[in-house]
Amino acid sequence: MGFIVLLVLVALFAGPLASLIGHGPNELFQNDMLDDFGLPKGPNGDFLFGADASGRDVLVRMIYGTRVSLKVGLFATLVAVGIGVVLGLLAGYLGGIVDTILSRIAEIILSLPILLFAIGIVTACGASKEGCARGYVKPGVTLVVLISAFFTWPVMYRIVRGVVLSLREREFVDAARSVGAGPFTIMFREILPNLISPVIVYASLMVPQAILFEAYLSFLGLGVPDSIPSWGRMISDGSAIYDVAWWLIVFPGIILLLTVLAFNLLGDGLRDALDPKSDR
Amino acid sequence: MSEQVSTTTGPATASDGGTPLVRARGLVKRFPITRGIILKRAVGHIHALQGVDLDIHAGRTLGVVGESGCGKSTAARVVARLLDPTSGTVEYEGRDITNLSRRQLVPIRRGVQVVFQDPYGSLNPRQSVGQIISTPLRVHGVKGDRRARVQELMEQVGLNPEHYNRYPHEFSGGQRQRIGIARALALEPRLIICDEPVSALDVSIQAQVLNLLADLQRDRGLAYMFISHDLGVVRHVSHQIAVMYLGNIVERAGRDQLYDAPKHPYTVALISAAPTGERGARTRRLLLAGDVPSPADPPTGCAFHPRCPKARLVSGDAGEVPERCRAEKPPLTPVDGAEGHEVACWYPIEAGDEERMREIQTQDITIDGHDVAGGGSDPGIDVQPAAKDVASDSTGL
Ligand SMILES: Nc1ncnc2c1ncn2[C@@H]1O[C@H](COP(=O)(O)OP(=O)(O)O)[C@@H](O)[C@H]1O
Ligand code: SF4
Ligand SMILES: [Mg+2]
Repeated sequence: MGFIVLLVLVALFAGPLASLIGHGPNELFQNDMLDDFGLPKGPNGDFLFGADASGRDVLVRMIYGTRVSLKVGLFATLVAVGIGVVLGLLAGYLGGIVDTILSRIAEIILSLPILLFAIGIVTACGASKEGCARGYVKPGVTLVVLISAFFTWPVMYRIVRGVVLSLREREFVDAARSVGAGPFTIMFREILPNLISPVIVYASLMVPQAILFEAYLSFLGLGVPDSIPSWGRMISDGSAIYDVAWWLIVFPGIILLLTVLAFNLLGDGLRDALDPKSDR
Repeated sequence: MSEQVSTTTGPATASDGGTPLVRARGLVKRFPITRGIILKRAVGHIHALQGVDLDIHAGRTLGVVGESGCGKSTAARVVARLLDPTSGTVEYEGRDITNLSRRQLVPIRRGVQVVFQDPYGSLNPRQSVGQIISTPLRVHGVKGDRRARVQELMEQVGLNPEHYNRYPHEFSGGQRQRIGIARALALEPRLIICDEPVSALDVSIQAQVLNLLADLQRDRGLAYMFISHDLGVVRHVSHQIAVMYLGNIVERAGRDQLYDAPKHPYTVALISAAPTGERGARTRRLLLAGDVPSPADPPTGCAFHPRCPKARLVSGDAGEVPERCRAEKPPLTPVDGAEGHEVACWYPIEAGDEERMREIQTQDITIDGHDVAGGGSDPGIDVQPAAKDVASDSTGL
């Protein structure tokens, strides 16, 4: 929890932090940080985490990378939760043909090989300068967010649908019907508030998945452009010369690992705290 | 119990003139029993209602009593139009509302409200009391100061209006039931359907809630359809009583008529099992044979015949049931000389029957494959769920 707060603060104050250190994220220190063979130099007093192959400060780039990771994690989860909750409510409460169609779609999406499709889409959008969908979608954070959300909303959908199926049998739903409330009032005013705990729990577990997904894509060179520092991208670039510059993959790797772990722990903690059935 | 329950107003006569507020005819409800997850196919039906007629009159209370699973809640939900009947009609103020759409029903719902059994499940745990009670006002677009109106309602049902922003879990069972009653009152209905409104409450709290309902009826001329498995409770609140068994109404009469001169063997057994507060002593129970049959496979003819002591009396053989009881379903027919008293039985109870039915129980016998315990000398034995149920759950009000 504390670690996540720290990450958010770092992301918010990436600029001031960088100027405190005195290096920009894309600033090249080729004279100071590249040796005679053009290889980067490791950690020292001025560059705590060393420099990368272009002579850029790894620590400062990692600080900026926090922004990308949290942005992707947050927005991909928000979009997936939004879609999953609304469709899950509709399917669970209305049932019938709505449920059948939505559940089939969710099933199909969940069975798709996500990375393969993601690579295909990003490559297609990256092929031409205008991007795809009439230029609205270009490779970058937005595309990563959309792809991640597209492939993960069915997870939230299934959870919400299941919970709604049991909630709609509760007497307070009959009570609402007996005063004349319509299906949308019941779904959004009566049932939705009761979904808060499971949604929060599973959303916090979806955040690290999206962060990892961005890292994968960036690792493959398909995520965000090189000018925007991203942990996955840094690991990818560093992996070419990791035998002479270990710090290029060790530090971004550790921060990625810690972040994913922190969100997973948060999700587990929330589940225990919010689930009345778990014994505490 | 320290508190006396005020009895309902007005004489407990059987008949009331004029068009009933609610008139239900021939209500049948079957729930399919399905097998298979992908291809659902019906492998049978639960016969929850098997042709029920009900009349509810303005300002009066119709008590509906019967064992758990006999279809009381289903009847309530069909009358409240929360469930569609398989067949039959429901009329409200003379208008057929059986096939109205949800939207068309909205104005009807102003007149008919429901108080549910479960004081925990029937209140949304994520809404404050204020939100819960104002839901009907919001749904019906009632103008004016809703908060003031809700607080007024809270006061009327004996809740502290300052607790407007509290959540259901902060209240006791009795207080929650008052919240449910306030919600039902919000639209100033003419009829409130109370489905076991006090069954989940402590005995001392039951009396308070019943008193509240009686006061509201007196002040507002409300009609109630009051459901309970507890004859003691039903007796205190009802003007008329309908006794249900396995999806059928087996007897219907004015309250005093039903208690003083029950005509159906099942009613006799129910009454003998309930403690009689006024006489101070408990009459000997008439024990029923075997279990209630499954509503998925109800008995032929009279649904009560596998357990009926009168049928055994008529046949003269403790192991036999008259052919008629087994083959033909008895319709609800008027009892001679008692207005508004109807019974569904081929051989209604006559004077002296009760004693003679007890006598016949002294032998161990089997009817239709049901193990039948005789005697009645050992009320602790578990083979008489009906009698035991009613007796142990009675409040003695
Ligand atoms: N929604 C339902 N689906 C299937 N069976 C039901 C449903 N509701 C009630 N039943 C069955 O119908 C019968 C009557 O139930 P109910 O009306 O709840 O009885 P009561 O309120 O008198 O205890 C029971 O056998 C019950 O299991
Ligand atoms: S019809 Fe026959 S079986 Fe049914 S209650 Fe009457 S006597 Fe008993
Ligand atoms: Mg019930």
